[in-house]
Amino acid sequence: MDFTLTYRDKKRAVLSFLILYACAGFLANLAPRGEVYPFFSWSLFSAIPNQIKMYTIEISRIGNTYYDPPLLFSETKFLFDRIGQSPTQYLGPIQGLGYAIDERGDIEAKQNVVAKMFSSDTYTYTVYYVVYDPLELYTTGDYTRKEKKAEINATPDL
Amino acid sequence: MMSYFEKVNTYFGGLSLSQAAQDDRVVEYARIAVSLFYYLLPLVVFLYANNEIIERQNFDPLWPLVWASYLGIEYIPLAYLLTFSCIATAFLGIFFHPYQGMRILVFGTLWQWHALLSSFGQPNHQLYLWLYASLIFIPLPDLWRGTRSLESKRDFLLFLWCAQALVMLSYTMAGLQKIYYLITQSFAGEVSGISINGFAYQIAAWLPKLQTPALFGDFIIMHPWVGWFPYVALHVLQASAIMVMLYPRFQKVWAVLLVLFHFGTYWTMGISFTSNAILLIALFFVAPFSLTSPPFSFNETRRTFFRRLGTRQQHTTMRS
Repeated sequence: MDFTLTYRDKKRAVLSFLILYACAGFLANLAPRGEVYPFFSWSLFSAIPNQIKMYTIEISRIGNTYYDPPLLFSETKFLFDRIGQSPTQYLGPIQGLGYAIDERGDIEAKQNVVAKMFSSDTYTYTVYYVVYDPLELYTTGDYTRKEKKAEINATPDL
Repeated sequence: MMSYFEKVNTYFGGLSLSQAAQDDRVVEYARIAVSLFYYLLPLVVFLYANNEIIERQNFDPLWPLVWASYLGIEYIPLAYLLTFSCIATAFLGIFFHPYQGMRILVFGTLWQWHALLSSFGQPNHQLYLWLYASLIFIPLPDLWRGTRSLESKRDFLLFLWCAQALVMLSYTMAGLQKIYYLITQSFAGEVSGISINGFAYQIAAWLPKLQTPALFGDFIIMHPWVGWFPYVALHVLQASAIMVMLYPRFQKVWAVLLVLFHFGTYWTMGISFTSNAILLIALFFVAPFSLTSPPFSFNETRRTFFRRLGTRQQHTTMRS
């Protein structure tokens, strides 16, 4: 049998590959994380966030340093620089912790994931559920709603 | 009698790979574009092989790394192994990319390293297109050393076209989804991509999450109208990107605009897609397929447009 591909076959293979790439990417949108490795829809910043509802944390102690007022999550870049990661990689774990607190899930497991952002330091932080208009929060610092969920105080077991 | 599609195709200089393969200049430029890809790959690997790679926390290996879990290899030795392999093959690829075995090694190590970087709860989007392009380049015929039959030249152009199309298709996918949300959010009465402060909302939502400085972020938030036109134009630029694969005379223009778009997102939102900008330069600035049609010229387009408009008006006058 001759398995040599003609130019026509190769052209069809190339077009099928591109169609498959686009379809798999769009379908990956339906997955819980919005992508299935190695397929991605390239939906980056597609919708305009009008109102954001999420869990966030405010940190009042890292090691021997106390913060008053507490550090907002948006001010914690230095923690991520020392572990070579992006703050966005910890947004998911913080949401997981918030859901676990609200729905009585495995709080300790979720807390251990978030704890890695503190490297080996001791820490105290408060988990909040917040609702906000992004432009208003950026310009005035005001949330539409802010609800305290839990205060977490621990020495990470690394 | 030409169909409407054929007329459009002829006017814009539609691409025929079979014809392009007969032009030695196109083939030579195509070879340079692929070589540029392998020359620039080590630079891109260097961008992401930072010193903190072994400090990363919450390693959750993706499926391509299942073999490491099976062999019981811990994160730190795995990170050293995969990073070193990727760097080594990327550098060897500079010299040996004409060999198919080398291109397989480059893809394999890049894939494993990309899976490693993506195993922290969030895939690495910056290297996706490099990974796919390195996969598409595996079956390239050897035009560097081997015989150069017309068939091998045509195959070479086809695979380069495929890699370029994949890059532009990704921008089109991004653009179409932005347009989808622009329409649905507008109908829902929400702030959307077409609203004067749409871009300002996007920046205000993401800057605190990304925690990266952005040169013009605050400026756009304070003066939203400045960002309106570039943001709306971006929807069109991205959504129409795939069209330049059919009408290559526009390739350089689109590539330059997309590189500028990456500069813009860095200056306004602090989002760095340097790797994609480098890939656009590697694959589109040599632009072999644009040689098959006359270069894009605003003057020529303007002249043709007015000439045709004049002809149409003459016909209308004669009829009346």
